[in-house]
Amino acid sequence: VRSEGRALEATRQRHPAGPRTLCVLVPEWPLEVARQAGALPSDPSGPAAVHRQGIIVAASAEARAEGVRLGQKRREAESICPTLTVAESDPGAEATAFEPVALAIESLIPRLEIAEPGLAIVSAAGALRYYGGADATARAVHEAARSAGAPTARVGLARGPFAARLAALYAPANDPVLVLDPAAEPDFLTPLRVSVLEDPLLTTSLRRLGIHTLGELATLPRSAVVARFGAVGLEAHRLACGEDRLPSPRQPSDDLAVEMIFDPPLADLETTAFAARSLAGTLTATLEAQGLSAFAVKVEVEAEPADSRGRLCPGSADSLHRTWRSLDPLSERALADRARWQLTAWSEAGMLPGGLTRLQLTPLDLTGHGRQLSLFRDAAAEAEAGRSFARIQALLGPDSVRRAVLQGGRGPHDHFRYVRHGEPASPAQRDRPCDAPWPGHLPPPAPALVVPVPTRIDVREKEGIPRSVSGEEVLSFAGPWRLREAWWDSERARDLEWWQIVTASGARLVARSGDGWTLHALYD
Amino acid sequence: MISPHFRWNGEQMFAILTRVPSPSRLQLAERGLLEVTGPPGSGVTSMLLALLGPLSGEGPVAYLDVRGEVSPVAAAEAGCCLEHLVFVHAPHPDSWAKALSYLIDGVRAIAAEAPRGVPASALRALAGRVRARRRFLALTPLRWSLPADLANGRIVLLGSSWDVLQGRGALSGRQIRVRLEGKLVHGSALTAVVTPPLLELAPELVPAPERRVVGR
Repeated sequence: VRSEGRALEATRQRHPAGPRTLCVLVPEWPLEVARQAGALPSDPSGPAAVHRQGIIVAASAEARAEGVRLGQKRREAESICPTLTVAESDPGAEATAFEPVALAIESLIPRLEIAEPGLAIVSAAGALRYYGGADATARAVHEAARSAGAPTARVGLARGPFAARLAALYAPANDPVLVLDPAAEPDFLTPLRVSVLEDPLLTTSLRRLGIHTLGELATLPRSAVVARFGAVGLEAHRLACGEDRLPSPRQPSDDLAVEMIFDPPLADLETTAFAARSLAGTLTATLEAQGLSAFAVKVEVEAEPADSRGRLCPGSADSLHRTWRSLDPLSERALADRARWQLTAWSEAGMLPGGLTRLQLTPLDLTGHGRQLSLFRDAAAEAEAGRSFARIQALLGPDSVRRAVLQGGRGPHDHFRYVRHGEPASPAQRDRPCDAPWPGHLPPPAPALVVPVPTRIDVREKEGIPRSVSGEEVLSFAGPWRLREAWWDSERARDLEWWQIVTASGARLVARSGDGWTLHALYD
Repeated sequence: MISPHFRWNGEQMFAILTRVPSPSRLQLAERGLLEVTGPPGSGVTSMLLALLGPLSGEGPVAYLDVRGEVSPVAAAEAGCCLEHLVFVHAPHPDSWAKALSYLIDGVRAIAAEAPRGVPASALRALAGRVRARRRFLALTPLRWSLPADLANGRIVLLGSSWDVLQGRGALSGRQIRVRLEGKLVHGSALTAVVTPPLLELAPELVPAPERRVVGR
């Protein structure tokens, strides 16, 4: 707390008028990107929404008029508004599309920070003097963002990022630039509803207690709010009182930065993303060891440049950097996501022509509060294992570490599918339920080894009964079980007989079809 | 249900549960390097999965799969919690040693196939890492032998036999003859017959460990 106070005091001394934060908000940016990508109809008149993992994150005005709300489940939204068109959010594409806007803003004010694609904040105290005032600065930034591909951009200017974002959000439609005078900031915040805190649990509790606006929350004694709601309540009370966290109040500690050097340069985006995940794991471990977590991270890369003819120019690497900010301390996954989105954006923009030679993550805006770990799971062990898996993926490729999901089926290959570690398991395929009867499936025990691609095997038979396998005498056998499935589909069609054959070297699962005998699995 | 974990001589142990509620258990220490070896088809993979089963209920465990053939269904039947079991595919000896060292750093229990060609020095370094980090590693060399003094204990699969089928029914009953050696079984070699998938220990076939009388 003392060091935060010193940082605030230092900021006040540098800027007598106090710190000022400028926020550029492009409302419903995921919707805009989905329309550009063709995932939603380009005609904006129909109700449309974008979801992330089944939760609505952006909705058009028409959809909102029908009752669709952010944070709603997709199914609920579709039941409220049957004509709703829904697309899945692609954070990588959203970051890529936002990169030109970020570059345009950064050409006016340096040290831009991105909270999420479509929302950027920047400390603007110095720029106000350079451009001759708050209004002139905000309008210059608005014009830059508009001309860079964000025609619906809104700009807010206030003391801290919370108020600046709300100023951008509530700017009038006919003049989407709102500059809040520091003295008028409390008056602006007071009538706003507590839902702007974007914490549904806290908001619900506050409403039940009869507290509906930020002004009502600000009038409560802070000690009472902390006693009732803990750290979450303290943060909310501070925001309601206009005591916002300022962007980058402290200088980054270079000691905590982590980097990876790539020789030869990494050109494949997917491998780069897994390297970023590995680095995020290392950074999280470093921070956790010191009881720290970061509100922002600087992603910095060096790339092999190419000349005008596209030839590589090794030895003269181009350096790029971008800072990402979050309202909450960044978890390992959040760090990895932001690094991946940024790398995708640079790669798609052709800014990494010769591949990546260096990747560095620097934690910014550190807090000593740490992150809350789960009570019922050994989250530390899971995080430790996750870091190991990420390092292996960086070494061997993303497909080298996988989890398995069971599903229904008849053959030994059909009963499971793999999911890469770190990626969410997609819902079970509708046509492969585990609990369906699957007539013709093999009884347990399951073979311990399943040959990835069935191979031909030499089986000698007499009167239709197998007598030897690869020169070994058959000791016993079971079968045949006839399997004929998907006869209507030439690609999936199977017509064969399963046999379980035991020899001196173990038991095998083999199949006899029109093409001969094939080995499918071993009961090792 | 019998808890798979208990303490013995001040050391944390785990047991392979029997299918019937019998007190007979295959007692193995929860830490250290265990070599599991046997001829092809003798049930080495089933044994590795059964060793991971009780440990997978508590947190992340890993199976280092060199051949890329191990079946998750067999793992589930052997008692592994698939939410916690991660399959790592590392076919080449160079990357295998590196991947295993990363796993030892972060995962409490690992079952690993070892490809031919891993240098003995790398294996010794890995064994030291296992002991230093207090992990459990069950290692099976694929058609080669580990250095003699590397592991804390060995499970040698002597052979397996399936119930005779003769064209009727399906594979079901199986018996594996195993010999346990080394510190993990407290220095006493014993031979048992186990039946997958839960490696049921047939109590009547297990000879009692020899007891040495000292100082009479």
